[in-house]
Amino acid sequence: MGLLTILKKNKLKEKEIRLLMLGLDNAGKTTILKKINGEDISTISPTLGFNIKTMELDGYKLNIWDVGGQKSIRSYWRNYFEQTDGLIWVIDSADRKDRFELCKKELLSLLKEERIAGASLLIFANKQDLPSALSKDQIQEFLELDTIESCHWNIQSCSAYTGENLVKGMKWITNDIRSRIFLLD
Amino acid sequence: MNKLSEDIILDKYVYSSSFVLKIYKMIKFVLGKLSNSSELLRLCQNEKLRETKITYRIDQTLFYSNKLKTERIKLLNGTKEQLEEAYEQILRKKKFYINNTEIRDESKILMKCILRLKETYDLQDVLTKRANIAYDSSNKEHEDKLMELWKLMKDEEKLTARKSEQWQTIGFQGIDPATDFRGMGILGLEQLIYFAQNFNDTAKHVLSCSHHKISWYSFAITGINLTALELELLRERYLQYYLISHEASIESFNEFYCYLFTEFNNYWFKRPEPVTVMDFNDVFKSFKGKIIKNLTDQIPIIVDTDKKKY
Repeated sequence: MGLLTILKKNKLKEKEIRLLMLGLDNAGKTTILKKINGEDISTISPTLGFNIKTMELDGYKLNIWDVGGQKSIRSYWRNYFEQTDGLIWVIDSADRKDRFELCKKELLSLLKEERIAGASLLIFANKQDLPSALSKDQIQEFLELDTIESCHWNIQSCSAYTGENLVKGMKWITNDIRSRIFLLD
Repeated sequence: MNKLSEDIILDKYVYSSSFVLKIYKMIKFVLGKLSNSSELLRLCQNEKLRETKITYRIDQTLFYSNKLKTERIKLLNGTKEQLEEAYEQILRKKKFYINNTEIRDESKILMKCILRLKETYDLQDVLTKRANIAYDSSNKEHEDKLMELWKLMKDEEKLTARKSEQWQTIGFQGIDPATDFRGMGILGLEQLIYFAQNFNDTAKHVLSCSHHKISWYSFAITGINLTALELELLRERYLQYYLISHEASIESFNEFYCYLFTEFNNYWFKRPEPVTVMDFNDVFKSFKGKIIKNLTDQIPIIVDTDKKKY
């Protein structure tokens, strides 16, 4: 049993999972966080810096870090990679074409980072309540998700506005992280 | 340090803990029985208090009263008929009648104060409506406003295109500010314009401060966060004393926003350790605490009607 395994085991005992939520500005990260937490989502302002929320799911304590998505803040993202068990990447499914390109570029460069290479990746195809939203399959194809080999990933269509599928996505990432940590035994 | 006067201590501490409030209510009950009066009546009879203070105290009394819950809603959020009906009920319940005769002077004061109070609640509705109007790029009026903001902040620089990286220089997130207004809608933009228009030098000074090499923050986004904060302060009734002592109008609300903005800028650069944009949330939270303290201490908020500088 290596040191890493012991560390992971201790973490499991505490049943704490650290999640990092990223994505371009206006993707809906804070809205997702607040909606899951049952808070009012009508008065959200753009995030400067970051928010942290703690929630319970299936007996696990999830610490979710929601970091602002504007260009000038993206260089700070790397400061939050350490000890991250899972990455939640949020996409505005109704965004402009050039923003999808940018989104793809940012995600790919993120996945090259060693410190988050082993983390589970959940992609929220958000804003499905909007008529112009691309489907989950269209986004999967555009982002070429099938080429990702460095980590477990899953794409989940959702709407932070209605709350649809948010918990489903969170359950997937929690389960995936749990099974990964167990596998190390 | 501002020394708290005696009458502020009552406002500040009685309603801040449910335990103290319970004791206060017991005292009121005994006092009411002994003198056959009510707190509302005593307030309207108190010649030492200014009308602003009486109005503020009536608001507190109504808000924390268990027996006047329905009357309060009718008075402050209802129609004119409901207001009159609830007013009449309060006069009867709260001993404004002696032997079936109305005490004229006191009940007049009560009505006057209630009407002033109602303005603050009406203002909440008006502003919530503005905040609920989402920024719409296809609406010419909205677009004109956005351009006006640019011109006010950057009179020497032309915008090369509607969607431009230049927007980031005044602190929007990307090339199109439209999505940044979010939950604050058109109100967020209107407040930025108010600041830039009426305190142009100050706004430009704050903008240049926000470009600090290490401790930079985004001017416009901070402004939108401040609108959200101010609306929250209004809904949670922290702004009541300010609004009653000035005037419950959009202009007073906007003036307070300008005060908030300049105060925030000072607060940001006066942290014991230099901060970065990643500390924004923590700093914003403690700033909110400071503002709430100022408001509950009823520290005078200087509103400069000459539109010079804060």
